[in-house]
Formats: sequence, structure tokens, C-alpha cells
Amino acid sequence: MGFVLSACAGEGENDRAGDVQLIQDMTGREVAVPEEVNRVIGLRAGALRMLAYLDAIDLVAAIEEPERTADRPYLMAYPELRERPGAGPLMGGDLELIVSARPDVIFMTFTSRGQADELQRRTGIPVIALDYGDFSHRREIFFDSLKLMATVIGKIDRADELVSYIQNSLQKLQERTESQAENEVQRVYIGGVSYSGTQGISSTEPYYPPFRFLGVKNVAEELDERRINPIQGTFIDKEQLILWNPDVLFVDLASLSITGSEISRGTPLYVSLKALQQGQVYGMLPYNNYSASYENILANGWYAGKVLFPDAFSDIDPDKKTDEIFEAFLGKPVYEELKEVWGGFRQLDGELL
Amino acid sequence: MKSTELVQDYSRYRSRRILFILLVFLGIIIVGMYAVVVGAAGISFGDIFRVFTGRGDPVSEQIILNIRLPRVLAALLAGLALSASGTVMQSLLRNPLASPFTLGISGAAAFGASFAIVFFGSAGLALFPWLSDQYLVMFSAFAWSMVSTGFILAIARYRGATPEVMILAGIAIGSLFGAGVSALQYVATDVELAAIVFWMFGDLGRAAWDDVLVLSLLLFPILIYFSLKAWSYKALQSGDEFARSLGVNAFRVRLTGMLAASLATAVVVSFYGIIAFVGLVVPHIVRRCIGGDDSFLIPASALFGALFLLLSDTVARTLFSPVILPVGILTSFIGAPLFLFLLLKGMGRGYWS
Repeated sequence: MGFVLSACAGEGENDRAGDVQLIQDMTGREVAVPEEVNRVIGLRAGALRMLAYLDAIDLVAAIEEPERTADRPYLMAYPELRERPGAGPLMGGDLELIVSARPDVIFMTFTSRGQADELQRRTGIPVIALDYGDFSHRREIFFDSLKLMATVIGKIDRADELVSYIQNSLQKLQERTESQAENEVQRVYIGGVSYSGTQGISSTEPYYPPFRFLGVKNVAEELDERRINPIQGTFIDKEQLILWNPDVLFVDLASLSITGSEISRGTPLYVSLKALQQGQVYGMLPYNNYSASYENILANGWYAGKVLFPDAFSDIDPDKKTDEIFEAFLGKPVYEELKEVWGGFRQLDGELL
Repeated sequence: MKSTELVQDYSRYRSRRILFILLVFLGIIIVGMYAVVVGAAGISFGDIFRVFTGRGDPVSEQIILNIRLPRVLAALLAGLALSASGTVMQSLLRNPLASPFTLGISGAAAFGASFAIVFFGSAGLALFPWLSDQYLVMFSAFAWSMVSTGFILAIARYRGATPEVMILAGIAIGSLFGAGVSALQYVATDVELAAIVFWMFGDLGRAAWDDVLVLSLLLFPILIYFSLKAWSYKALQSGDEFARSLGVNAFRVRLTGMLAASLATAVVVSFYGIIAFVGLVVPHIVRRCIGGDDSFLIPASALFGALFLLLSDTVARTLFSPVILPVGILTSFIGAPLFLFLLLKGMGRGYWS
């Protein structure tokens, strides 16, 4: 019975389609999508953000329910998204709601071939699987996904524009810092990196991309790669942090409610870490929230540059730079709104009482 | 004289039981029809009529035939499986706290699913190109449930298949797998974590024709087996010694019965996640209504469980429409008060009989 029904659905799909183009998605599936795409849904972490990056908010037919209340830069830039019809719960939505939103194409991140096939079979709507990549080793994969999405919705110029902006920006960061002598580079640590919610000071990301853009190493990079997850983050022992005794301590601002009490004046960490005693502690924008906000990672890179290499970045105003980055990614400078939620980039010395 | 009264009494009970089964059956038909009609998509009776006569528009057709109908059938089959298994386990273990999850299946399946989500998420898929990946999580959940069941049955074989051994071994294994799930959650990325949590909710939105087919093919032989063995289960209620005097091999009946019940449960759990409480509370509700005679109790519980889960799922889909609740959450919210009411109302009567 199941086979007969899905065969019927297949015919229905062909009846509706006008001109189609064959697209190979990021899992290697061949998908027939309509030439003209007017309504789309982005499912799972990051898919809606990518639509915002491509200035394709008008096409969004429905959103996953939790997007309504989340604090993410793309939702601050486009609050009207919060009012769109619901597509069900996070991480994939609800079939019935997806179908009744009548999208022409569904984009889905963090999916496998089979899950994408399954969704397509059951909704009768073409599903394009994307790979969200990351901002360190798999940056090109993210770019490829962005361009793929852009091809389907006819925004390829916009994708090229954003990709070259990112590449230029990273290039400039590298140029500004590569002349710095190895021995002058300070030893740094990032704590309180959010994973699945806020975490304490012992949560770090050994290959923290903003540091890597500058050629700076997180002290946690010296951990044995086989025993940690250098890209997706790891938890270290606080005692190890004392042994490392970094020159500069960065803290993910989203974690301040937890890390604040761990590193405030008089705590064992405060007494042991020279960075804290000398006030070398700075807040960074959180970016792991339903997959990474790449705009925040890039802004963090520029701010870390400003802190660690003040001479090379003397012409940079972090506030202006951050808004420039937001405009490049999202078309709107939303740094002020971001500040209302987490506060902005700042030295945290005075707040650790 | 006295024996005639007894016979009359018995036939009165008998007709009461048959009436109960008929009423539940009627309920299933009414709620089933209602469940196909209501939903987030807002499809009218006219649309449905057109779909079933082959003149519906593609979207309604997709929603009714490929989303709602399999979901309704899945609710019925899963309810049937969980309640029948629960009833049989309670009888076999002579314990009112026994449920389909007594042998640690929920924990083991959750572990299996988390294991597949974390380790076979994307990179791990390259290792199993021959296994279609949307079934990987399902398969892993099922395999680990069977590992847990097999382990407990092996212990029972060695140590004697008494209710105490099985229940205690089930608790120990369940907690072992619970620790395994926590460990996996700790190393999971935020996206994987969301997937794990969602898997554990228990959601019939995953239902498709394929799994409905598999479920019915597996379930009906098991139900028939239970019905054939009902007499032996009844004998076991009065103690292993007594059963043996009637020629019932307590050891074998208990072991095979537990295996069959676990198999049915494991399939449901690996398809739809953990749907709590149905298998525990439905047998009690039905036992309160028609008494503890297994030859009626097993089919009546199975049917009532089907009705109960379908009702819960329909409420879950429509209560906060278009926001959808996973049915696993609703079953306890609906079941617990109903059960408490029956418990209070029935005070004074011997409970476990």
C-alpha cells in the first residue's frame, strides 16, 4: 500500500512542476527543483540563518517554532520572521505543517541522504540537503552550501558577494598579524564557550576560529587532539587553566552569569591567574546558538586582534567594525540590539567584583 | 441452584467484557475518523472526500494519505503493542509496577539511538554505505534493546526466571544504559544533543507507511501468540508451583512471553521513541473495568491502548495547534489523572486481583 501511495504522490509532483532544474545537493543527491522558487522553508540549525545571509527573507514560508523567541542576529535583523507561520518543533519541524505552508523547496541542514530522501518522499516537496560546515577546517563546505542555496533561489550574486567579503576580511586579519614575531604573541584562553546552552569557564574550543584567524593559539591547543574535540569544544579541568596561566583571558559573554562567579575577585582562579589580576579579561560575542553565527565569529576575530595587537589594529573601532560585518552578512547593523542582550565587546575587569 | 447462579454470574461478566471490547472498538472508529479530519493544515470534509475519491488537490492528498493516515495507524498499532506487552509483563511478573520497559528497553533504546546519532551522525555514515542511513538510528535502538533484553533473559536463565530476578536485573541494566546516554549527551554537539532529546520524547510524527507495515506484520503474530498463551498466564498468576501442577512450564512460558513482549515494545520504541505510561497504566485501567482474566484482559487492553494512544496523539496534535506536542509528553498528562481517579474510586476493593 505504501508503495502505491508514494507513486501517486510522485505523479502529483510532476503535474505541478513547470520548468525544473536538476540540482546536486551536498549529500550528492540529484534533486529536481522548479526553475522559479517563490516559497522556501529552512529546516534545522542554520538553514534559516543562511536564507537571511542571502537576503531571501521574503521567500520564507514558515519557520521552526523556537525561532519566534530566540536571540540570534538574523532574527534581530528581520523580526518579521518571527511572525511567519510555524513549521513545527526545532530540528526538522512537523510534516503536516511543512506541507500546508506549500513551499516550493525545503532546505535542510545537518541531515543525511536518507533523512532528506525520506522527507522528500513524504512531503512530495523537493528537499535540498545542505552542509553547514564550520569556520575553521570546513569553511569551503559552508561556502559551497551557501552557493548551492543561492543557485536554487536565484541569489547567486549575493552569495558571491558575501563569500568574497568573508575571504577578504580573513585575508586582512592575516595580513595585519602575520608580521608579529612569534615570541611577542601572548598566550590566550577562551572560556565559557556555549555548547547546548551556557557553560562555565572550563568550556573551551581549542581551535577557536577567531584566534586562528590571527595566527594566535588557544593554550588548550596543546591538548592531545586524540582525546578532545578541538573544533566542537571540550571541557578542561580548572587546575589545568591555572597551570597554563594565560596572559589574556577571553570569556564568552553568554556565559557571564556562570563564569562571572567563577573568576570574580577572591576566587581561587582569580588568585592564581595573572590575566585576571592584571585585568586582561575580555568579553567575546557568543556564537553557538542553533549552529554558529558566522558573523559573530568574524567580529570576534577583529576584536581579539584589537586586544592582542593594539598597534596593528589602531585604526579599528570594534563597534564600527562589528556593525560593518553585520551589514555584510545580514544587510543590517544590529550590533546595538545584540548589545541589549549580552552587552558588547568589553574589558570585563570592572565587572568581576 | 447454586451452580446455576454461578453460571449466570459468569455469563453476566462475560457479556460485560464483550460489551467493553465493543465500546472500545466503536471508540477507535470514531476517534480514528476524527483524527484524520483534524490537524494543523485545516482540511475540510469536502477535501477529504475528494482525496478518497481521487480528485483531491496534491497538497491535501499528500497530507491525508502520506502524513495523517500513517500517523493514525501508527498510533493504533503502537498503543496496541505497548498495552498488550504491558499487560503480559504484569501478569508474567505478578507485579503491578511492571511495564513494557521493565526489562530496561527504554534506556537501552535511548542509548542505541544516541549512539547512532553521535557516532554515525555524518562522518560515521561513510562506514556503513550499505545501510540506508535513516534506518541507522532505528536499527541501533532496536539492536541495543534486544541486547538488553537478551542479557536479562540470560541472567534469568542462569539465576532462575523468577519475577524478582527479572525486575531487579531490569533496573540495573536500565540504570547502566542511563549512564551511557548521559555520557553520550556530554560529548554530543548541540545539534546532536537536540536530536537525542527529540528522539527520546516519543513522537508519532515519524510514522510512515513502511514502518506501519513492518509493525503490523510483526505485531499480529505476537498478539495471536499472547492470546493462545492467555490460559498459561492465568495459571502463573496463582504462583509458579500451582502453574506447574497444571502442567505449565513456568520458566519457559515466562521467558518466551517476556521475549515476545520485549520484541513488540522494542520495535515500537525504535520507530517512535519512548512513549511512556501507556504500557503501565492501560492494563490497570482495563483491569479495573473488566477484571483480571487474561483471556479478556489481553485483547481488551490492546484495543483500549490503541484508543488511548490515538486519543492522546490527536489531543497532542490539536490542543495548541499549530504548535505540536510530542505524544510521549501527553500520555502521562492524560493517563496519570485518569489512573489516580480510578485508584481512588476503587478503594476498598482488593486492588491486584
